[in-house]
Amino acid sequence: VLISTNSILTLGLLWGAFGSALLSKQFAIRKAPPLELLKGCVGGTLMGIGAAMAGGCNVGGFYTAVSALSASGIAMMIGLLIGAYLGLRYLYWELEHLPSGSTGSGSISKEGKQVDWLKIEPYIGAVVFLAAFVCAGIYNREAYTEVGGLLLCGIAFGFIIQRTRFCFVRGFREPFMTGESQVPRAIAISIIVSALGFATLKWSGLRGENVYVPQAFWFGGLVGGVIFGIGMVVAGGCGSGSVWRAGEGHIKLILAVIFFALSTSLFKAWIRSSDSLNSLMGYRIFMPDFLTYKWSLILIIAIMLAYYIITAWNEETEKFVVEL
Amino acid sequence: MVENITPDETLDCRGLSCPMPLLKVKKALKKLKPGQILEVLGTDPGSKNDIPGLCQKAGRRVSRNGR
Repeated sequence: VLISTNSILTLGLLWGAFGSALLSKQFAIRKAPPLELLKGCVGGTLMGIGAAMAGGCNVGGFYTAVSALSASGIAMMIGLLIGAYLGLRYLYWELEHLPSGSTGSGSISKEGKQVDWLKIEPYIGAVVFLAAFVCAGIYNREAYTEVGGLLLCGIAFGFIIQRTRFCFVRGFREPFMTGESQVPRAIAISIIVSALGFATLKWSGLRGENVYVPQAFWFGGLVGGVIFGIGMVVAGGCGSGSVWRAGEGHIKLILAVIFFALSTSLFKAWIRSSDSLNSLMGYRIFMPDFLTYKWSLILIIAIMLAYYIITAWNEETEKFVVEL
Repeated sequence: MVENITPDETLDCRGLSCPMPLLKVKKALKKLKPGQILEVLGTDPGSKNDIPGLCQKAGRRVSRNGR
């Protein structure tokens, strides 16, 4: 586990977010009411199932997949939108019918000694980052230099996403919740840019055409997207968003990350063990094989521009915003 | 707490994380009459950015932004 790419990156994310939260005095063990903790577990489990079906979380199954001209990414985008809507509907229902479940009974730890604690947090943060370099050094000595580098990349990334409070959930939830369109627009534009980049790499043969093309079109992507979408809204964080919030000390999101990891590996193993289940997920569709590079790019750019324009228009008119 | 201002309503969002505080504020704002003051207690660092954003859209003023 300590040398596999994905878990090292995730560990790095967690590590970086933890250190970054300490440095900015934002770390605290944040206990939440029982219903919230349950939502963390359920949301995490749903995200794990969805990610196993769609061939990746919101990043691998949607973001990178669309950029890499995979049809499954577009299926997952539709699924994520439906899932985010359904998840939000549940949250609204909960506010009406179980308002006590999210009453602020939770507390921040160490109320009494908090001042002293906050003063030393930045120092602990510095130690945490130093420890990271030591760790990378050990990897280097043990001839796993790349792993150490990866760990540092993960940590840097964790630092950045904690500070910017980067949240993918917003890209799909806000159009229905507040109408805010900044994140949806940012996602749309960045996908256009990275799709152009990916197309260049693949067209020129620098990268294999099937790289980052999950075998999940259309059932796995769409249904996985719906399940993942519900999960991320209920948990209050996507794959990476849950990880940096966990690093900030939210018990709810720590649970979400644990349940995500467990359910995704279990579900993946289950899907792989059965041929019929595996083929149910769908095909590995690299769009240029059917549409040519030109039309695949035009299609992706058109979808993303449409998402950009619709969410921006929605911010003004609130046409899609669901009222409480 | 804000000095010298008595809130009309208080919303305790301590221990809750995104998006619950935001949703609770959204719900509370609907009940609020013009001129009334809503106090929100929270522990999620994200709320500091989110709640003023929501209020701005809804045309409310945010007077305090502390922890």
